[in-house]
Parts: sequence; structure tokens; C-alpha cells
Amino acid sequence: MTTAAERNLIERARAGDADAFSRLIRGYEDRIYRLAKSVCSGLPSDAEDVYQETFLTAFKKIRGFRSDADLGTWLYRIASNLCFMRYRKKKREPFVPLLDRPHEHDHDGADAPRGRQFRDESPTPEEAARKKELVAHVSGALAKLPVDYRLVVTLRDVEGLSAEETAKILKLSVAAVKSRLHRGRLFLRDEFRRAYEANPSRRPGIEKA
Amino acid sequence: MKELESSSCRRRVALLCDYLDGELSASSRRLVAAHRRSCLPCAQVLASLERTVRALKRVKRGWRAPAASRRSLAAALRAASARRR
Repeated sequence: MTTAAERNLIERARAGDADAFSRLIRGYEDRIYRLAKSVCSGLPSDAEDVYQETFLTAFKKIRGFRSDADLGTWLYRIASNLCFMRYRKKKREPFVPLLDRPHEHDHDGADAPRGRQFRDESPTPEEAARKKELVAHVSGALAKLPVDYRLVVTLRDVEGLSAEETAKILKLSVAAVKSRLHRGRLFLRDEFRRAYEANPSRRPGIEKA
Repeated sequence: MKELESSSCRRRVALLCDYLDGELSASSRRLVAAHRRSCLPCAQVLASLERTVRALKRVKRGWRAPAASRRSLAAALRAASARRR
């Protein structure tokens, strides 16, 4: 739901006030940037383009935005469409079968050693390097997912939106969102496991999934 | 795209994901929690999915719009505003 303060900024943005629009989107910049980085994994310049294009498109179309609608949903939808079009246009879509065998590797143990699990406190240079490595591995795994699955996984598991919100943004049924999410998670789990098994001593962020 | 190997597999993963996402009723949640304690394969799938979701949630903190990108966006918006006027 759009707040009263947002409605005021929307009115000013409709009149062409770029500063009002900048204030309006301040709370959404990181969210759209994350979506772009996650969905355009491995293509940093595309992520930057999607980030900027999303807000420029929103500024251009702000007159058509209904004040009773949710601004976040609208922005996520614009960004998702831009990501989707970008991949379709460039034919960069990965064609990999999503492995849906939940028990494929489950004989080799459920729990990683405690020391390999995530810790939230991370101010040291070593922790920063580990986080950077985690981001690189997650990006690499996401890049192997088809874009429509990547969008669902990003909105649900990275952004933390509900299945209903994700369905609304992507104009899908909740059942379709869940189906893509489940398959996407299984695929990523297997990718993380492969990364861990390839080099267990250097996979600090990605546990033995 | 390859289909799940069987409908029972598909249902099981769906149920475990719903459990993970807190989308089950209290009674279904209790049943899955009890099943988890007695069924090693399901416990292992669940643990691996939990770790996968945790990894995805953790990258959230590593992706923030850089100051240069914000500045560049602000400049592009001002230019778009000037063109509109």
C-alpha cells in the first residue's frame, strides 16, 4: 500500500519533479539493484542497465501509476520485465535440465560440519572475502537457471517476498510460482553441492548442500 | 525441461518447501516435523534445502546499489526531467 508521503511525492513526480521522484524511490534502489544483479548474474553491465532503466521507465510512466497500487510491486514488475526482455532478446537463456531428484545425493549426509555453516557477524577481512566468494558462487549458480526460474527464486528467497506478492509481480498463479521455486531450489542445491565437492576447503559460504 | 521423476517426488518436495516457508497449517507442520525426525531421506532433503535458502538470503547483504550507480541514476533522472519540461 502506498503511504501518504509517497502519494505526495508521486504527485510531484507526475509534474516532472526529478528530486521528488528520487526521494520516492530511495527505499527501493537497493531492492531493484539486487533483483537486477541476481537475475542478470554474470552480466554486470546488464544489471547496471536494468537498475537504471527500471527507474527511468517508472519516472516516464509515473502518470499511469495508480496511487492505490503498491509502488514496490510496480517497480519489481518493471524490473522483472526488463530482465526478461533482455534475456529473450539476447538469447542468453541457459538450456539446462532442472534436476528434480530430491534424494540424488542424500546418502552423503544431511548436515555440514558446524564450522562450515553461515555466521552472521562478518567484519574481518577474511569474512569479507568469504562473503565475496559466496556472492560469486551464488551468482554463478543462478546464471545457470532459466531466467523465469531465476526471477521467482530471486523474488522469493533473495528478496523475501511472499508467493502471493511474487505471483502478482510476475503475473503468474501462486501454484506456478511455487512449482518454479521448488525446482529452482533443487537445481541450486545441486549446483552448490557440486561447488562444495569440487573444493571443500574453499567453499566457506556454500555449505555441503 | 526434465519433469520430476514421479508425482510422489514432486508432492514431497512441494510439501517440504511449504514446510520450510512456514506455509503449512499447524497440524500439517506438526506431521512434517514428526516425519522429519523419523525419515532420514526427507530430513536430508529438508536440511539441504534449508542451507540453499540460507545461502540465497545471505547474498542479499552483499548486493547494494553502489554510490556511483545512484549518482548516475540521479543525473539521468534530472536529464529526463529537463527533457520533459
